[in-house]
Amino acid sequence: MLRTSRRLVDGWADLGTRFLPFADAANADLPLSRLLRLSLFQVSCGMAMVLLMGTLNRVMIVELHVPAALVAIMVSLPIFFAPLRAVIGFRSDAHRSALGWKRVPFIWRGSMVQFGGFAIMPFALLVLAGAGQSAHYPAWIGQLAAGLAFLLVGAGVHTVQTVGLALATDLVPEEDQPKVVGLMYVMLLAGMIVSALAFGVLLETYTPGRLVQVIQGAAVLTLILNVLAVWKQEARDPRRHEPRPPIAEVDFQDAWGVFRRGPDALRRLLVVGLGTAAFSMEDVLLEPYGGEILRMSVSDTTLLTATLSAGGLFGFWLASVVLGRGYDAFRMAGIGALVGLPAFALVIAAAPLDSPGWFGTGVMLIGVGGGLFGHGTLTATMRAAPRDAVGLALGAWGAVQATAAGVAVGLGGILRDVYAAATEPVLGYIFVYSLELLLLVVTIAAMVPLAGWRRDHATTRKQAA
Amino acid sequence: MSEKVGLTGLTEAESEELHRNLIQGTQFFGMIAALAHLLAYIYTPWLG
Amino acid sequence: MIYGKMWTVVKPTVGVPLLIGAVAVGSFAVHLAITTHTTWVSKFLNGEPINAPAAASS
Repeated sequence: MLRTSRRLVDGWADLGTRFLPFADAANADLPLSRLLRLSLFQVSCGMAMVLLMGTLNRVMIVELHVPAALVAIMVSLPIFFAPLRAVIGFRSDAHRSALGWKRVPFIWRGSMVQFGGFAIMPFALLVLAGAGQSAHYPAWIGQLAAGLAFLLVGAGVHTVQTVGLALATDLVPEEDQPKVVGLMYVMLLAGMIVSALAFGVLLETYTPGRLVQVIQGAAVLTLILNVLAVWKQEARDPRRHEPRPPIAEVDFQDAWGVFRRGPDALRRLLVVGLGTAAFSMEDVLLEPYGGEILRMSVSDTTLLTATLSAGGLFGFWLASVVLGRGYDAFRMAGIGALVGLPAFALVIAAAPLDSPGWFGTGVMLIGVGGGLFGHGTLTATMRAAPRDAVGLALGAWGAVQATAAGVAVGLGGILRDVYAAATEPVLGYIFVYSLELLLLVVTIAAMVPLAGWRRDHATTRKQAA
Repeated sequence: MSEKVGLTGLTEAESEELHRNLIQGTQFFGMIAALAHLLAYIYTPWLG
Repeated sequence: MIYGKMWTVVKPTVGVPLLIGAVAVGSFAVHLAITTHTTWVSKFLNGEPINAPAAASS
């Protein structure tokens, strides 16, 4: 039957160890349509992020009149799940399955969890707000339910994204990885932009019924997108019927121990964390800075988001092209951090010069620098990941990246408030931007040993393989 | 390791694993559905 | 579990979509029936404010 012939083909593919379990990837490189389909999971992740951080944040405060502090707690809940990405990635590496799948079960479960979170979310939010007759019930029901909903969605997003990126790394030969990373970032951004616009239009006239429809629509869309994304992507491991070596049962501690002893593993993660924090701290401060300090109009400040995105897209594109030619990925990330230096300097200088033009240029450069940095570190992580620990490596990257971004965004707002209250509004912003400059300098300093070392890693890894 | 292959080409182990996933998925889905209906009821007894 | 071996007999490519589809169609049908046979769901979805706590549902 078909199975036996496929096993034969897989046997041949085993000779070229690089594409081990994937007979399809060996003979022809992945067609673009399949990669595009795979990247749909990023669209669903982007949609979930926008819904959590943007749309629901606003709906809860403006329409549902939930206290801002409670909203802040709820919205920040998913971040506590971010460090677990490393564990999720490891679990999918070590997943033992008679079906021979490592990634698909996790993406499926992650999608289900995300779907479940969205399914209960609208009702949980309405109960949290004490709307309808829910005021008759104790308040903790709403708080618990809303917290659970946010946690479930966060857990789902983190799982799907970690394992999805690991699957992409599995599928794609090393020379094509930069293209895939670029594609993944672009699709995440596209998902965020499109869904932000769509949610804005759909919730233009808010009613509780509309809220239920929109969020549950997002739930169904999540399932559809993720199923479409992984449909027939991961080939089943041909060695699944062979008896497993008994020592292969490793736990997370051991795997992590091996991973952290890899060349510069911890320094790489440190750089990712510092750089990501440096590039995300200004996230919620750019628009109020433009409005409050530079007295830009609302439409002009909204344009800032577009400017930032355009810069990011250019950065992703540039990084894809340059890294596709074999340029060192960490050096590319370093260039991104270097671009960030004039960017934040321009943003700071815009206040004394009272120049929205300088500010806009700075924002675009932040986008470019952030794009180059993100692309560079992710590509470097993919290239350095040992074939049997792809999930762990990408999980660790994602854990550091998501945690750093989440903490930095929150910290940026708090620091601005505290410092502005102690001095004056302008200085609150300038303080945060200066802190980002400092973080970038530290990042670059920490990166210096990495750029020179890279070549040695590559050769030792080839010899080991 | 049982290598009995059924009519569908799946071994017993594969079949069991598939079934386990389906059961887990159904249980999770059921719990979520029950919770959602409970919350909807708390919000307003059937939207009345 | 005795049912676990059923997929050696039923092709998963047929059985799994059948199962999931049955759940999806079933639950969708129930909600659709409630929407068409009562007034309060469509009222709610059309944005009419729900009753105040004092006036219980009829």
